[in-house]
Amino acid sequence: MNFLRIAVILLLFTCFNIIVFGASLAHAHKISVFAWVEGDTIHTQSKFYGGKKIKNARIVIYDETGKQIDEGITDENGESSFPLGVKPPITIVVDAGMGHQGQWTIEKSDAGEPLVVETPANPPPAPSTGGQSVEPSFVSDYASNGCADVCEETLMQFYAVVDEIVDEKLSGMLSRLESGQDKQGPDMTQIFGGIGYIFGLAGVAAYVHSRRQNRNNH
Amino acid sequence: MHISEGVLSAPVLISGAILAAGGTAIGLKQLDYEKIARVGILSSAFFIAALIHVNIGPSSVHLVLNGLIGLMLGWSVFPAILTALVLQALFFQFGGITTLGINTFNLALPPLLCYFMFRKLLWRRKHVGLAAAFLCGFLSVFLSAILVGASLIFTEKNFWETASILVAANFPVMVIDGIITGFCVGFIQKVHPSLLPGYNP
Repeated sequence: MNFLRIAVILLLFTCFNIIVFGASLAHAHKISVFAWVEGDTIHTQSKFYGGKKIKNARIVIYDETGKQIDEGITDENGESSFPLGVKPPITIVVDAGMGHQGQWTIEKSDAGEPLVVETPANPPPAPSTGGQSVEPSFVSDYASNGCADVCEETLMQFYAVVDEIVDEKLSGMLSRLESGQDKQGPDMTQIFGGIGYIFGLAGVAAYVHSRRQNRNNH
Repeated sequence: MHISEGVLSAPVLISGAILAAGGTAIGLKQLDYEKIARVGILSSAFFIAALIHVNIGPSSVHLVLNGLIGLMLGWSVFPAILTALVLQALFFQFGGITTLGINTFNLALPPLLCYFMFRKLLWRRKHVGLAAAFLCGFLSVFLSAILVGASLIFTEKNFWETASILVAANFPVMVIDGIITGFCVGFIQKVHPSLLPGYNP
C-alpha cells in the first residue's frame, strides 16, 4: 500500500521532530508576552510574531497554584501594569482572542529577594582584611557615634534608593533586550530550511513510489 | 488562523485530529506520481504565505493561499497543508503540535469544498473562470475563519462575536488571496492548463 508507506514516513518524520525539538515546544506560541518586576509592580509587554504590539488584549495573572490573582487589558503600546500581589513564581497569560494565546512566567529569581537590612549593631562578618570594615564610611561614622537607630533608618533609605535606581535601569535594559529579540521575525535559514524539508519529503515520496513501480515491472 | 496551544479543550482537539487524519488518508490515497511534486511545491507556497503579514485592521493576519492549493490538489490539500503546518509550528511557532489536527482541518476543508464547487466553472467563458478562481480564494479564507470561530466556541462562548471579528480581521486577506488565486489560475490556464482540474483539450 503506497499511501500507507507515505503516511508512515510522515508520521516518523513528525515524531522525530517532536523528539528533537521537544524541549522548545513548551514555549511555542505565535504571540509573546514578556513581564518583569519593578519595585512592587509587574509590568507586561505583549507582541505578535514580528513585533506588532497587541492592543486591548486580556491579561490574566496566575499564582504558583494556578489560582487567578488579577486581570487587566493591555494599552495602546501593548503594555500593562499590576501590583505585585503575591510572591513569584507568577504566570502571566495574554489572550489576544481568535485562538491566540501566550504566556510568561516570572521565576522567583527574576523578582529578587526582599532585602534584609543588617544593622550596624549586628554587622556582617568582615572579610579577613585585618579587621577593617568594608561598609561605607558614613555607616561606621554613625556606628562609632553610637546612633544605631538613625543608622538603621539611613541604611534602609540608602538600600531603598539603590534598589529603585537598579530596578529603573534594569527595566529599560530588559525591555530593550526583549524588543530586540522579537522584532526580527522569521529567519532566512528557517524559511529555506522549511522549503528544503518539504522538497525533501516530496523526494522521499517520489522515491518510494518509483521503487514500487520498479518492483511491479520486474 | 493558527490556533495556539492551550486554548482549546481536549474533545475539540481530538475530533479535529481525527477529521484531519481521515482527510489526510484520502488525500494520500489519491496522490499519484504526477501529483507528488505539485503537492510539495504548493505545500512550500503555503508554508511561505503565512510569513507575508497584512497589517490592516486590529489584528495581525497573513496570507493563507489555501484556495489556490485546494483548487490544484483536490483531496491532496490535506497532506499538503498538514506538512506545511508541522514545519510552521516547529520553525516559526505558529499554531502548535497539539493543535495540528484542528488547524489542518480548519484550513484544508474549505478549499476542498471550493474545489468541488468551482472546478467545473473554471473552463467556462474567460471572465466566469477568473471570477470562479477569485471566489475560490476568497471563500476558502472566509470559511476557514468561520471554522476557526466554531472551534473556539467552547472557549470564547460567543460564537457570532468571535466569528465576526475573525472574518473582519481576515477580510483584506480574503480579497488579496482571491486576487492572487485569480492571477495564478489565469496564468496556468495559458501556460499549462492540464494542471487545473476539469481540463478537456
